Amino acid sequence: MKQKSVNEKPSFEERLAELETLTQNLRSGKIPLNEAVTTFERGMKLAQELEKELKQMQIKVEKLLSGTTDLETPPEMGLFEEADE
Amino acid sequence: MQQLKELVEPTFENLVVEGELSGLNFNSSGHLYFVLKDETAQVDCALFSYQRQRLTFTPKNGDRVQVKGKLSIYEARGKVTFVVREILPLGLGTLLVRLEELKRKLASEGLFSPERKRSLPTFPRRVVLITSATGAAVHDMLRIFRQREAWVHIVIVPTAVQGEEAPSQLVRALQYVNRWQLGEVIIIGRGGGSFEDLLPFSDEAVVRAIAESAIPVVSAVGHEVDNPLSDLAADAAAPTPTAAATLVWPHLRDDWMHHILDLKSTLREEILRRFDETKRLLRPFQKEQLVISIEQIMEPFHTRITWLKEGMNAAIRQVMSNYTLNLKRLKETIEAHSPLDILRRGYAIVQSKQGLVTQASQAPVGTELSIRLYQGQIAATSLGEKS
Repeated sequence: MKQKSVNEKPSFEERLAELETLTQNLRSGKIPLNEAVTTFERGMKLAQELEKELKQMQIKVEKLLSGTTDLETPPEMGLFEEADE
Repeated sequence: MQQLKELVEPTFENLVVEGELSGLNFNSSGHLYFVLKDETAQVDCALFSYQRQRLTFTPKNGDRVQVKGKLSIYEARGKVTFVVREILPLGLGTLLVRLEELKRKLASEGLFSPERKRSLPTFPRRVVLITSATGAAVHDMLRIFRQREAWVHIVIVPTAVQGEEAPSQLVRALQYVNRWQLGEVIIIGRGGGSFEDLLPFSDEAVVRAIAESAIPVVSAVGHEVDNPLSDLAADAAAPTPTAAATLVWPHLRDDWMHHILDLKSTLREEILRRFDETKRLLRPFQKEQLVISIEQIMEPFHTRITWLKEGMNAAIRQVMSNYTLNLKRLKETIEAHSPLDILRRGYAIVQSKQGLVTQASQAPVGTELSIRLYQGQIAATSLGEKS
């Protein structure tokens, strides 16, 4: 298991929240035109990214193989086979 | 027998009897027949199949039990039967009391307080399932996640979920998942089972480990009536693993796809609206519009200037005509006052070398005078002033 990297992409949720805020800002009509254009571009980029991700994202099912008896043993994952069920 | 039945049955409708099981007979139709006895008496008992399914343990001959039910008289055979609703192993009573005590103790420590409950992440990226790798629960939960096309990474941490080993394994799994941050939310649970089967989820160590977990925990123990204590300590609880999976992943992919597409079209509409608005605001500053605007601005000035010009012309004409009139009058006046005109009437102008003579004293005797008539002049010498 990798440690969470510092520059990890914001989560789907975070980006969706940003997209919602951007849309709200643009809708308010209170931001200057040049800012509105930047907001629009950023929003469209996010929306397309999220749309694409949403189409592609798949469920991934793994099973902890290493066991939990020793807290300090790093986790080792294996695919969880349907047959296991 | 009929009278006996009418007498007995209403009187013994709600019986609670303790005794020892013997003569257990699992009938092929699903009914269970047995004899309940103690040191002094015994009674034939029947547990019908629909009630048997609710048994929370497997009865064995010799078990000491508490039985609830009613007396029934079967006239055809002249037989009294105890129709059983519920069999509880004796000792369960004390277990329930212990559970109740534990619940009170943990509650007083604040383990179950609502303020402790954390909200679950809306879109968890990794969900940990602490359960049996072979039970129905893991299958049920995966089915939900798959049905909902959840874009999620499921990490299964296998443990025993019943029996003596279960509590320590559950505790260890909770600690391990927290130690290695295996997910953003944990579902801990199992499918439904007997009262004893579910006991690990009310184990003090397990309940404490759930409360201590830094990662939010959903308790997912299949149950109908009594909540396991894990439900109270967890951040959220569901009555079945299926319900827990739905709680952790309430989303339908299509809904979010629509939401994102909606946001996208809103963005487009808004920016176009903004552009149109800006165009409208800028329209007065376009070249042809500017010429028109300037003309519009200048128009009143033009009119005024034209008007002023005309006014001035008129004024000047007026002034000029006044002058002309005045000049004419002056000329007439001047003409009227011309000395020649007077001379014509016989008057004369007398001048000496000193100038005009208007008084006799200016022309003593011998003064040479010039007399100007209407026509011509006369030279003369004064003879002095007449007396």
